[in-house]
Amino acid sequence: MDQQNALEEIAMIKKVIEESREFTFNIGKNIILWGLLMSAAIFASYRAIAAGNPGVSLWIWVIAIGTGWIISIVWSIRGRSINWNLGVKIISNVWTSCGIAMTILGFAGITSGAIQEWAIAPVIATIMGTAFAGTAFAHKLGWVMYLGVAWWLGALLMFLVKSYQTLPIFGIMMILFMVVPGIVFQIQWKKRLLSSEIK
Amino acid sequence: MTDFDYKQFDDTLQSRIRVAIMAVLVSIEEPDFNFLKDRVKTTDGNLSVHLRKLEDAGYISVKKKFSGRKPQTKYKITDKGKHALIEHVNALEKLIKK
Repeated sequence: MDQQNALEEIAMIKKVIEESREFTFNIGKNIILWGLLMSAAIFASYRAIAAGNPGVSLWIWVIAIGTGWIISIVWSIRGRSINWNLGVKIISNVWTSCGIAMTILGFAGITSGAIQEWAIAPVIATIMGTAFAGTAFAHKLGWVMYLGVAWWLGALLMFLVKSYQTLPIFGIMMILFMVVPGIVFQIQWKKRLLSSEIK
Repeated sequence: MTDFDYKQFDDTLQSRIRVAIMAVLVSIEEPDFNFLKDRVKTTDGNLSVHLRKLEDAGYISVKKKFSGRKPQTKYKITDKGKHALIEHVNALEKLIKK
């Protein structure tokens, strides 16, 4: 082996490690994805309702939630060959279950008339609190529990507002308590990768 | 003339495919055969041969189980394997710096 071969081999090892680690568990990217899609849908929906086009709101949600599920399913299929540990399995199941519950409540609840449109934001916020509390338990992260509590308090506040004005509150909560923590998770994940023995 | 000692290189890790397999295993916890085949981009037969060599050297452990009725083989890097890979990278770096 000469120096050129050695350089190529080190480059190859780094590339393989880097690409493989894209498959390591990274909750941040899912949280950011859903946080951005949901907050965009919330503000777009608020504008549509305020402009007197509530019918458009349903289509905004169909597109946002449909896109979120498609991307999440693709990511999940890419990682199916990996034997995740129990903590990861718990977190994945908590978020998948809560996601399905929110999708059912959002679409079936509203289209059937069982849930009034204004009430969907606090109902979903309550489930978000549960998802973050579950994540805090599985990830053993105390600060994530505070996010769960923040979602529950926000839900209580929105139940008091009782109008479509819950939507901007919900949108701000989605950015503060979903997108921002997602970015923190993402930064922590990157740091973990960089701190490994072989870089 | 150089004072670089080529014996520093591990014979088992003389193959690029075996090094690539080890690099995947050091990054991912217990992937299955298909995942490895996809990452290393080789044929079933070739991958099996290299995995057997790594297993014989004690660098990886193999776990066979059933997922429903489907047999599944999972691979894991051992501490000995991790150490060997780190030593291999160190030897490569020494060669570059010589």
